[in-house]
Amino acid sequence: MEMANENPITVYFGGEARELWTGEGLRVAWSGRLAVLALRGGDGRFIAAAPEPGRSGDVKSDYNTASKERELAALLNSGSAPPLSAAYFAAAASAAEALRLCGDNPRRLTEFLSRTLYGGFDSLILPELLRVLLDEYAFSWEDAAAIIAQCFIFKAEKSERAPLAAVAALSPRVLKLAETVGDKLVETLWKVFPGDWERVASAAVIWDGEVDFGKLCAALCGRIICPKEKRAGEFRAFYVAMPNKFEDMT
Amino acid sequence: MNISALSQKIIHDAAGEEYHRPIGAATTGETVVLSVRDLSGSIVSARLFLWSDDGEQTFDMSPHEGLFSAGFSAPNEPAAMWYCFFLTFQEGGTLWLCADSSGRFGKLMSSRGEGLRLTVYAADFGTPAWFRKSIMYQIFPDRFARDGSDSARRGIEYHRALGRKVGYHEDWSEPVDWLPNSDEDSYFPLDFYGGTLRGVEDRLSYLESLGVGAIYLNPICEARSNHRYDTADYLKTDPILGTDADFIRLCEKAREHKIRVILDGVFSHTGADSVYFNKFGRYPSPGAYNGGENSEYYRWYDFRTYPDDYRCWWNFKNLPEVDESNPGWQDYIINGENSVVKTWLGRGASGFRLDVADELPDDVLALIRRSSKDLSPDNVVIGEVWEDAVIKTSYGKRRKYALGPALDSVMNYPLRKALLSFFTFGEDAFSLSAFLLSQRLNYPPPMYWSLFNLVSSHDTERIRTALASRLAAGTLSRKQQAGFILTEEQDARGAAMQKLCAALQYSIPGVPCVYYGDENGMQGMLDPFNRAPFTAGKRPLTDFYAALGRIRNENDALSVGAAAFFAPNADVLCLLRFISGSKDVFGLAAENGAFLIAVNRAGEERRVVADLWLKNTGLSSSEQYDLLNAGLTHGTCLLDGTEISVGQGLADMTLPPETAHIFRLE
Repeated sequence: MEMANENPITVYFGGEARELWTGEGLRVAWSGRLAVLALRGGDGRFIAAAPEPGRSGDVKSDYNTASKERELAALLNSGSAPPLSAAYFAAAASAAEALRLCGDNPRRLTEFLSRTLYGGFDSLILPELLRVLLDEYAFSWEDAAAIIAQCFIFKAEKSERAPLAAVAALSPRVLKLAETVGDKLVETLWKVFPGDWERVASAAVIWDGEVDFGKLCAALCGRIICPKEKRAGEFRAFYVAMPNKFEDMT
Repeated sequence: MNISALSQKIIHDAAGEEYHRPIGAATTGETVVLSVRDLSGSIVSARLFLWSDDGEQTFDMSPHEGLFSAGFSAPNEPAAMWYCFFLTFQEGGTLWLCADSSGRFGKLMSSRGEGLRLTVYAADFGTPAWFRKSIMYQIFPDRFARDGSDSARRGIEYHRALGRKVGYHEDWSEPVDWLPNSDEDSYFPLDFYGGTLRGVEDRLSYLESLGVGAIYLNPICEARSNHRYDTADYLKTDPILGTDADFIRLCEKAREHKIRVILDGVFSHTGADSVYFNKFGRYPSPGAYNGGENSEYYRWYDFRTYPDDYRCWWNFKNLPEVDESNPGWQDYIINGENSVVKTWLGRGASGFRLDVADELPDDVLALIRRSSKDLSPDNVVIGEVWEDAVIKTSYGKRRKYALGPALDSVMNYPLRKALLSFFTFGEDAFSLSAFLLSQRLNYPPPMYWSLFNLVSSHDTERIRTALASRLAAGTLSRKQQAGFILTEEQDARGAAMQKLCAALQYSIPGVPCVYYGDENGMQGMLDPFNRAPFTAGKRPLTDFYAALGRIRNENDALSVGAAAFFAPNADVLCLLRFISGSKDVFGLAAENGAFLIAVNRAGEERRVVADLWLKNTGLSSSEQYDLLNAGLTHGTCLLDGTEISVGQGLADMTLPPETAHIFRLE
């Protein structure tokens, strides 16, 4: 915790992300995003702070950005921020903090991060971690997904949903990766349930214009703790396609 | 039009009753309904295109709650048909919905592509019930079993007296001949081991212990070669094998063991060295070759220039082809009171496997089948066909032999290929499942549940060799094949895979056929190395085959039950067979039962969950309803006693590496 405060973590909101194929592989270029610093408060929660405003020459632009960042930090600290925004802030800060503990070897993430998710908005930490491992550490999808799977358990208690636009407003890249998780899941499920769109759709991460965080957790967490009723119902497709993840809820 | 955006919203699945009613093939005149689901809400009109080799029809499709449907009567003549859909969208664009690469799903295209399949078969097509429930055993007669007499030697002397240079292996364990042995410096199969019909008779108890219900004998008529596909006399048992009386007794004794005998009918050609062609003058009456027009058989053959330029099978001069439309030939082989077909059925045979069925016209096949059925509807006629028999073309003509009048069954070589691909890790379980479902959907049910399901034959390398070596035998020279020996490690792996392969072979709808010696662990590359004398390999599986035979024979559902296929992962294939309401898929009385077959080919343990309530796996909605209400709670493996629990249609199983399970569900 001290570490975060000595060297605050930066969480970015919004903006536009462009994928660029370079000689060194895929890179993501950002524009227009807002930065908020995350520091640990006395109760262990993250507190937002605006970064020192930069002065790049376009004074008005810098001023506008700095004022938006100040407003955003204030909103996040006020307790009246939209729950999705607050959850994203905490999730992204947690992800960055854990990765910082790994030093220069993000594969050690499993040593520093072990968490149970319940299908709420805090599950945004999953695509955020994917984003960092893929975009900033250039991991393969398989490697990144395997590391994340080891860090998280999904206790299937709820399945909160958020509109795609709301997630995109937090981070278009996070939404893009959540969609990709969904696409890859569909690919896997289609093999197991060819022609059964109903079954495949029942496991959709993206459905009816919303991100389903319960399904996102089921797709990315390495273990799923679930009552038998849910296993045979809501998460039936997951259970058949990836039974090794499942543990009975006691 | 944005095809990508629409593709998951416009659906046709040939395996779903919602889209294709009835499931699978339809009978002539039956009402068929084909539908497209529009989840995009953007289709304003749809048209069904339906065609066969005889022409094309189109039908307007009616919308109802997002489902565009067209109902029509299947044609009155059996036909392989295809269909696709032409869709018009709100903004005025049009797209075709045609077959995807699997042939099962509709795929949107901007231009017309391949059609999806609809098989229409004769409404009166029926196949013998006993055959569907049988296990077959193929015997290459010279190589299965000697008897204690010297009759085979006398037969050898008979052939030698005719001037044939036949050889005799004194030692049953000698390797087969394969080196050039003819004047043309090529190999000709003239070496005999002296297996006899009495030898087969002596082994009937063994066959019964394997659960065999039908023996398929490779040719037994008099002929020069050891394979006897060069018939010399259609009406006479080859003296090396025994006598006609021996055959009659074999059939009688076999019946006492509840075993029937099916013969190899080689009717598209004869031997050049035969009563009919008599090229070498070894028979007293004039043949077509040595007697010319004076021979009663002259018109059977097609002499382009008499006497040496004649049509023959694959240009083998020793196998002159016959004209099957010749009335004299038809009378001799099929229709006459003492025809070849009637003679052998009269002697006790229960049917024929017709060699190179593609070479016989459909109407001739139908004549053979009718002639056989006239004697007994229980007689069975099987065709040697190597491809998908429903859409096969030969000599530029679509064959209809799978659609009703011509054949009861065909040799299912495509199944062999699919099983080998799976068990040699060429294809995964998803592919195998799709293949099995496609056969279920495209074959007429009477033939589908009678398919001759083989994994080896006299024309392929043995299953043990194929699974253990993972080599394409055809790429090896004859010399390489002669010297090929599996290592201990290969044979052990082959044996493990063969068990899994056999478990599926015995569980898939159709009639499993074991090639003699496969159950005993025999190895062998292609002809003639796959025709060695019956012997025990290093890792025999006789007990395992006997167990499979017993399990299949004791449970109707495993032979004539409904079937569903699914693959929970790339290495595990699951198969569900069941009967409810005390009636099999043909409406005949049968014992209720539900069985889950699960095969794990992987070298590691696999935990899988089989969902018994899956849709679109080959079951009709009424069958699914029965399954849903079957109240299944647990299963017991009939092979090793493993127990599994079943809850809400889900069977959670941990399958050890390289294992097969046949769970009886209750």
